[in-house]
Amino acid sequence: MAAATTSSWQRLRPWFSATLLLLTLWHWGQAGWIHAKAWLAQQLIAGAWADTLQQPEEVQKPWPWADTWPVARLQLGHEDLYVLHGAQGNALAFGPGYATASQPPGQGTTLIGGHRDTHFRVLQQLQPGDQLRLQTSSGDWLHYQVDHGAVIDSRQGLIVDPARQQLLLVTCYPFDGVQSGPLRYVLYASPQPLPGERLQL
Amino acid sequence: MSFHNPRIPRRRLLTPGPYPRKALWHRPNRWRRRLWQVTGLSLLLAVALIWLAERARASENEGGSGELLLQQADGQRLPALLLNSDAEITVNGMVIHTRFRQSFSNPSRDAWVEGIYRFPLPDTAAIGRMTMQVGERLIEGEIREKQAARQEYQQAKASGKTASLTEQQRPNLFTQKVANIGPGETVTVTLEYTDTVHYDQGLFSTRLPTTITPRYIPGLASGALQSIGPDDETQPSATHSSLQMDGSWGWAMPTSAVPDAHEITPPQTLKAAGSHEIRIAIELNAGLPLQSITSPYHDLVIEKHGPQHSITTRSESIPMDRDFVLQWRPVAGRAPQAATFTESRLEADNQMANYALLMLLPPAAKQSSRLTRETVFIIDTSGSMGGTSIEQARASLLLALDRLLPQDRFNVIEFNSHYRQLFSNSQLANPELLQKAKHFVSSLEAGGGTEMLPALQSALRHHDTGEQLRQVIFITDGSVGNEEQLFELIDRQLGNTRLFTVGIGSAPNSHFMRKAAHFGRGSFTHIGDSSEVGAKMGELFSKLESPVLRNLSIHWPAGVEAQTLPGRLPDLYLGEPLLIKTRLPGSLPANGMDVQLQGELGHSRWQQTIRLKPGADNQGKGIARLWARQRISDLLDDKARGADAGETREQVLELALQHQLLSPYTSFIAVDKTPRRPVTDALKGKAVGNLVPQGQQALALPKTATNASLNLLLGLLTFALLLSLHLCGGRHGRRHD
Repeated sequence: MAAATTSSWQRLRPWFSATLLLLTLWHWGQAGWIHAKAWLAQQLIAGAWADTLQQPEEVQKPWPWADTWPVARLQLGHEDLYVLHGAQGNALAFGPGYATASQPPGQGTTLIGGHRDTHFRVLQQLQPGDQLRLQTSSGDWLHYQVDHGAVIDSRQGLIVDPARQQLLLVTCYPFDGVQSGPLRYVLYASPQPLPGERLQL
Repeated sequence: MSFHNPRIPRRRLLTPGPYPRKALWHRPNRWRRRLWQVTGLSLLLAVALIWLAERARASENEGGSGELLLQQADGQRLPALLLNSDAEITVNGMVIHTRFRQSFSNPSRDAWVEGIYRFPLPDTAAIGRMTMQVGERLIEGEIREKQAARQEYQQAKASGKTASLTEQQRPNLFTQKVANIGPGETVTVTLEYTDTVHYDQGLFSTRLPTTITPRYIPGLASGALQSIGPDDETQPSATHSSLQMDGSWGWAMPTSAVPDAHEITPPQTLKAAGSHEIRIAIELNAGLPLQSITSPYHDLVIEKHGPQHSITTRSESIPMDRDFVLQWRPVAGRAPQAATFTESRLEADNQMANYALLMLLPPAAKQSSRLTRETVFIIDTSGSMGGTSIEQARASLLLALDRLLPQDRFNVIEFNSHYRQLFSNSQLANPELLQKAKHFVSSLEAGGGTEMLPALQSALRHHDTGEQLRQVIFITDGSVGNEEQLFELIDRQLGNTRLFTVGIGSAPNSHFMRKAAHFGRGSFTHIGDSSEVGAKMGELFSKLESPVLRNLSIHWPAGVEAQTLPGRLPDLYLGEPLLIKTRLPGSLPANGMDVQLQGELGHSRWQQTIRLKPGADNQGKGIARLWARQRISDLLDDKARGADAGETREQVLELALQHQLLSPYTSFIAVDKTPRRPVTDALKGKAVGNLVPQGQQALALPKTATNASLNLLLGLLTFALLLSLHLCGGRHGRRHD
């Protein structure tokens, strides 16, 4: 009986090895693909954004079959990111996404979400007082300053005053988490008047 | 010789000999080894899985407590401060007395806390007493000039004494600060106020707001907070970045249009168990037989004791996420046409004075023919109108459009950050244009800022309409911080136009609704639920279409120096009573005195006499305070009309100190005598938020995790498995050969 087990193990061993190898490659490929897609898409979107600035009224798709399009450009830290329309999976894979339930940039509370592993990995490094800027499709740059960060439970949603001028950047928490949990890290940023714009009464 | 390898028959290998012994020894070893491999790998896998599960569980737990987690740099979370309220309301005829308790509980085991809470109260309430309860001790609050009270509070706070400060930011928005609430302790602050019953269309009502819809702050930021002045809104822990939202400053910076923006923009919170609940108990002594007692937004339990009713809400306490409204209607034909209440008071100069409240309901007059009108509708489509509010607003406006006649002219203006007019000029209400308007209204969505000023300006822009009536109907939640600026505009540009406000939503800014209509010489109404739209808009239209009682004047007997308020008597619309408060020096003659009222109703003169007699019962208690509160309101109205700000302040201050009233320039302060917090213990500031008004939505947060890390980890696992299989398994293979 023992001999039979040994021989069947011998026979199955290469198959096991092959399966494990495939699984390993598949998992790593997936991980690599997520990062590659995130990086590559941003390069493609750069062109669509340039077109958007030329013709802001028209939706400029980064590739013909895309179901999202750039709505803003966001510079924070060393990152230069193109923000896409919609904060669902289809958009977030390619760039940070603008939550359509929030107000457009400069018209109230704007919420932009991004993946913690890719585009919004940078959020954990931002500190209160840090500057960031956002370009709207009209070409104007809006300047913001980070107020504070807070961890909140997404199951309750985020209560905001829609009318308040602010930019909220959202990513998953904890930053080094492996699974998708209910916690989110929200970075609050307020408009920062340029030095020349202050105290215009 | 041949060097050929002797071919050993395969079965020779299996013959008994030295091999079987060796194989027998070998086999168990291989088994043991494989067992080790399997166990090792299973362990590795198990550890990895447990780690993953633990991660997931940890993240579930962290957010499960039902409160916002405010992360501090040291990784700690702020202890929450629980707030609960209790309102004991007594209604005597037209006068309401309320004892309003607010309890601040510190659930922490070791932290001393300062609570800062911005809260609403009825916009006409005359707040005349404050007490603070700390454990067994009851401390009577005192009225002080605002800055003096702040200083006293700061001193008490710094020296570790429990203290509370009540300030007025708006007639319906106040600040409660309570310093040095010990670990596990509850401090209760009780406010007592007097108010008048609202009487309109034969229905009596009173409204108690419980939360604040976030106010929009227009204007440009006017610089750093530090430059505000000596009011010392700072707190020890305010330097902390996470505390900015959590501190007392509010979420907005002062602007040119709203210099006190930081004081009227409290954070919003979600309902957490054990906090933000209010218990309401009402003793209703209406003084007349009632047909019904109702509350449009809450379920009631009503007990009748003789002429009096005891009323509570069905659930013992209700979440503080919307206005509480109580309405009572007298039996048909028993609606009062006139009522008077008086109170005598010993004044500061040791002279007696009588204060009187007069209510008079003018008779309804039917319009012989409906005049053609120009109606401009303004609809607020700002972000705060999101949720159910915009639905109510659209429904109201659609109903209003249906009411127009073909000879009427109309226009619709919608505004948020910018305003948009349906037509460049008012158009005749023909079916085609009405259809266009309905299409326009149906497509309106809420979003953006609340830039009210340009929209109002556009609606009030002077048009020479000749004899035609011009009415502006303003549908909004009034969630702005620049009320005074808007009142100024309305007063300045009103001309022949009349402005009517329709307050929308669960927690509208009633102060704005009332005063905008007051300056606009129109009337105001509230719609808090879609089911109310039909009835309330119907009432508004009967007001718009019926003759108005104008040019009212009041005449006292010769020699009586009465100070009658409001100083400018309003125009009265159908179903609205005249409610005046008056101060008469000296005592009233025992048989009373006749007061004559005159005005113009439509095209005819109207005149009525009312007899004012000394009050017999205690129904007049609090009239003096109501008079003083009305006087303050009048003075502040005059300020909006351009009166000198410094002079207004002096007059209001004197009156408020004399009558012990909370006002923009006076605050209540209560300080416990003994210091309690050890100087070594820090005091943590905690802003108590306001609940999100019922019907508003929170933003859904996107899913922001990819599987990249998980894939990487699982890949590592399978790779480790492969590696160990290869290494261990390979060795067996070789030995086997």
